[in-house]
Amino acid sequence: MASYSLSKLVNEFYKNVMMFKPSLCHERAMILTESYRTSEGLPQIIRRAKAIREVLEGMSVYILKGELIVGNQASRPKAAPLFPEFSISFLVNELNEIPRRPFDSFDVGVEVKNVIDKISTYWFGKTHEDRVTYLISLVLPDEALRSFNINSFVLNDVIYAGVRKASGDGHIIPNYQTLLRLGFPGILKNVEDEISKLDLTDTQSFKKALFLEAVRIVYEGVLSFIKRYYVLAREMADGDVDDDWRDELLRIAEVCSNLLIGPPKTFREALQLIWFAHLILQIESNGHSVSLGRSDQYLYPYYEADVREGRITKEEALELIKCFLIKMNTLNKVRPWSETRYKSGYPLFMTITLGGQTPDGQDATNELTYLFLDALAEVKLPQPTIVLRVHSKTPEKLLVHAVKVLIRHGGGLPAFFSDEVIIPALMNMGITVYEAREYAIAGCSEAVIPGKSLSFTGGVCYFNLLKLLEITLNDGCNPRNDLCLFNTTREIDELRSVDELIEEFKNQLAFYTKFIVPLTSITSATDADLNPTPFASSLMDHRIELGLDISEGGGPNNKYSHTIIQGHGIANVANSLYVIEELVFREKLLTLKEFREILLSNWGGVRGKELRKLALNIPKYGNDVDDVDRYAKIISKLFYDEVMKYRPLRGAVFGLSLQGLTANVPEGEATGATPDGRLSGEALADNVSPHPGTDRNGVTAILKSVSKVDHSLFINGNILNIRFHPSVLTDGFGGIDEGKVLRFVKMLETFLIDLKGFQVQFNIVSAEVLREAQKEPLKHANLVVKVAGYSAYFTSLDRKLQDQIILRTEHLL
Amino acid sequence: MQIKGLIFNIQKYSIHDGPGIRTLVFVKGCPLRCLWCCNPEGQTPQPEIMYYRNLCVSCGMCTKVCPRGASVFRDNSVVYNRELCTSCGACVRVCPTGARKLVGKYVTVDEVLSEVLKDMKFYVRSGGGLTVGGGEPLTQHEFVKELLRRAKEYAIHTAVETSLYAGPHIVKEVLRHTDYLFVDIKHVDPTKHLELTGVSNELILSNIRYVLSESLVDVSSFVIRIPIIPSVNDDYGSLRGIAEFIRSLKHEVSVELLPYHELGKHKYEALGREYALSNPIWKVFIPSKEYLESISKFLTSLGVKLVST
Repeated sequence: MASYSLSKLVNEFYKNVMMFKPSLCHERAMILTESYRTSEGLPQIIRRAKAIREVLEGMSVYILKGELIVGNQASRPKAAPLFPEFSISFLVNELNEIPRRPFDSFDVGVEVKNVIDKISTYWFGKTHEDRVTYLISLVLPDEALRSFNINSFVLNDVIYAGVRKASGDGHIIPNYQTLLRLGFPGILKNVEDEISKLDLTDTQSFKKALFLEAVRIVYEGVLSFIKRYYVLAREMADGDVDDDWRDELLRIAEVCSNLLIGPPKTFREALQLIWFAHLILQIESNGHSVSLGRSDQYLYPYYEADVREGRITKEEALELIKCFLIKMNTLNKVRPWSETRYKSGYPLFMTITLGGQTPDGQDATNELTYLFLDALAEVKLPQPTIVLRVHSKTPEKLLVHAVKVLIRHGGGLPAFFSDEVIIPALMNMGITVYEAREYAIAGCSEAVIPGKSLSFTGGVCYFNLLKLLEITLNDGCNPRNDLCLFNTTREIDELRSVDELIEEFKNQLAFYTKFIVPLTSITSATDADLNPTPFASSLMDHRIELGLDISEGGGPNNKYSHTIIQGHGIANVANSLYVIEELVFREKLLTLKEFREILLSNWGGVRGKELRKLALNIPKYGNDVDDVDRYAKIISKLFYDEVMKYRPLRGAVFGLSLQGLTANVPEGEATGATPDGRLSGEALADNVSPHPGTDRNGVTAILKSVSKVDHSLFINGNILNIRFHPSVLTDGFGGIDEGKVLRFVKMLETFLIDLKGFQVQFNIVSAEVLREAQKEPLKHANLVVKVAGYSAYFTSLDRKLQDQIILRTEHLL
Repeated sequence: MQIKGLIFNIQKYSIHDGPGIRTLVFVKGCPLRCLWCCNPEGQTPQPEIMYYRNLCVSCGMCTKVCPRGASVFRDNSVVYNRELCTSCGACVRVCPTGARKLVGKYVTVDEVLSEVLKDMKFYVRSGGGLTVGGGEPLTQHEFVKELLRRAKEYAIHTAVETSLYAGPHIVKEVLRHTDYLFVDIKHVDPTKHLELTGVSNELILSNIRYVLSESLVDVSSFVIRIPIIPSVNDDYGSLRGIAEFIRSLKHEVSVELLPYHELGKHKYEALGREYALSNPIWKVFIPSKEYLESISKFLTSLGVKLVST
């Protein structure tokens, strides 16, 4: 145990990190490209492994004053490494713009420009993006291709497939229990054992040998990387440093040296090992949503033993966890502008899952559950996302604690997920109840089994369901480009009811859904061909025995895997259908065709204005009105049924989600006026939340409306954003009001356990504060808000998104 | 035909009005005119129009639809004459900016009940239920009694917030179906009470004694609330008077303080009325934490059992 205050060092580390602004780092791109130049002709997975090894051996390593856990992604905190193997064109085309972006900007140093100049000719035509673009142009029919925006990867404004245009897969939760048990040396030994056991008579043995060799090569890099920190810490300790910091540097060296020879033996070693693994995943590939799983569970045995043996105090453990959380905020990723718009605020979607159940169905809460929450409240940073699993046996005490953390953190964390929905949904995929109880959240809201579910982005598609309704109302044509990919069977004036309109909507949905198959397969196949991830594969169950990279899919993992397809705008679609039912079919104020003309004129003229007023006054989704909410249920079910007709390339299934990141802003721009009273270009409702300002019946009514959607169909999660004025949880003088906290907990329990809602998250901040932050961003630079499945600094967001968050109805009392 | 009541709001997730998570039904109409009332739209026993002049853009839509000429154009801006208005709501329906709001709606017990039942799961989890407040619920005792009775059929916990300014037989009838009761004591001196609220307090105080002596609600479910209106009703003499009255009750009753706030002030203008406490002679102010603590301490020293619900 340290005799001095760790918190002093950790505070110093925090300040050191906060001094840095997001920037780009040239090192990875430079080293990787050099390696690729010398490995031409070798099998791709070997080239990749060598390149990663050389990056780990050649990139800068540093230790910032005060950090107890070491390991950096790039040459500075918050610097994003570059991944030219995924896309070079956006780096070349956008480099001058990147520092000037209105949000998600990065400083670009002169080395970055020089390196990109030097490497761009090498990469041109060889990247993931080039391959995917080529394959899409081969596969899509001409008329669909005409509507496909090659810059943003959007098909006729309906399907967005750009998530994986310039990015790797990500979206896994490694088996950290296994890693902790074996350490890197143990995993390497398994690899070597498998190599020695290769079956000469198996036709696939050579492929297995290649994969295992690739893992072995990467692990050379991994061990060198750790050794570099050992050496650095020793060197620094020999320098002119104060005594406390020297002690810590020597401990860092000791921790690193222990991890070089075996598995971790202490809580600190365990945390350091997890950090190295998480970090190297971010260096190997740039796929986001690499998540941590159930940290309170797999770390507990180390914590418990350390406390029992007197090696650590609770306070010291808290400081280590704080340091771990701060480290998460040193990581970064740069995306093309077109994709940035769909997820502003520098998100990496790294999620830690707390609480929940043990495999035998008992409550899993332990002391670390509380410590992680306390650390979250103290550091008050946007990353990582911390979520709490809630079930019928979750102790009230834990929920009360978590709600108080929510108030202290202020930025929407923790978010709350329902075991009562998610476990049955996983079982519905054929997963046993014991395994299902081990689930954790990856990224925003995706429920996966750590170590088992494979990276399932494989080409993620987002559906703009409201745009699809607009196209349906225009007889199958997109008014923005006049392209008609699929005509409706009847003209809208022939439709006699909302049910008949839904039938036409369904036909359009069926037509567009087919495109998810090529769009996802092409990306998945390109991953396997060009950018396999041997390091990530080594941390997942079965892959070493199978000798198969995770990008290939297959094996026992398939049972647990699902490729993400998201549906956006569900609230607006439901509202629009109900307005049509009321105005067109019940009150018969106008025909559907007249309505369409008014929408095309963006509610123009006196009649348009009057009708818009009527449309706005008709009850909306979010007020617990069955007549409206039933459309959310119907449309979400239709969406599920259509998508489930197909299977993704890697096997397993498509996994649906109604969460939508910040896509509601760009997707709104691409969608004309809609019957719900929305103006042309206005953002859609976010996720499964009501449209901003239309929920006028209190929070319980929102929860009721949202719960009418069958959430168990959406294994990749549904997100509900609710904004509360702080007075909902505090007394008149800003102190925490215990009675209010308890009622809040009961509200949460009712939604997650009784009403079977998937997820809910809260921003506890007044519109007043948010408006002030817009006016004086520098003063409010540290204001964190929950955006979609992630939190971000409010002032770092797209202005339109900021406005939308302010518009989210503020629930007072 | 079912009895209809006039209400002006149904508020979900109410957390200040009894145990747990509750739905609060606001009954319209009140015999009192407390100077500090934060729900002035609940005072008159008929629907009325609230007109938020700051939201009005003088587009003139209301002037076109008003059947009585209560909204007219004068010098390019809309002038609203409340005297001519019958609160028919025609202007509310056309107003594009939400500057007009109709408060007060006639509803059946079934209509209210179906709204209340929607949050049943929240009541069960939290030990919450239905609270009827207002306005003054006892002004519509037939309707309120029926609503409470029906709620009890669903085993919903019921609470009433009242001034108890009504005949004892009415109090008794309503409380037959009430699990939890909030009563205000605004002052003990009848003259002062008349000055501050427009009515004397004799009926109120005698009803409090009556409810307790007849055990119309359990004493553990009975809360006396004292609005703390600085410089208006909270001098030590007045507070001592209230404390003495409470101690003279034969039961140990829970007492809660309601600190003065001005969240309802803007409504007066929308109703075309003056906010009396704006007059500087009252010297009213919003109490600080320390101020309230000293009052709590004083009342506690007089043997009053303070709670926070």
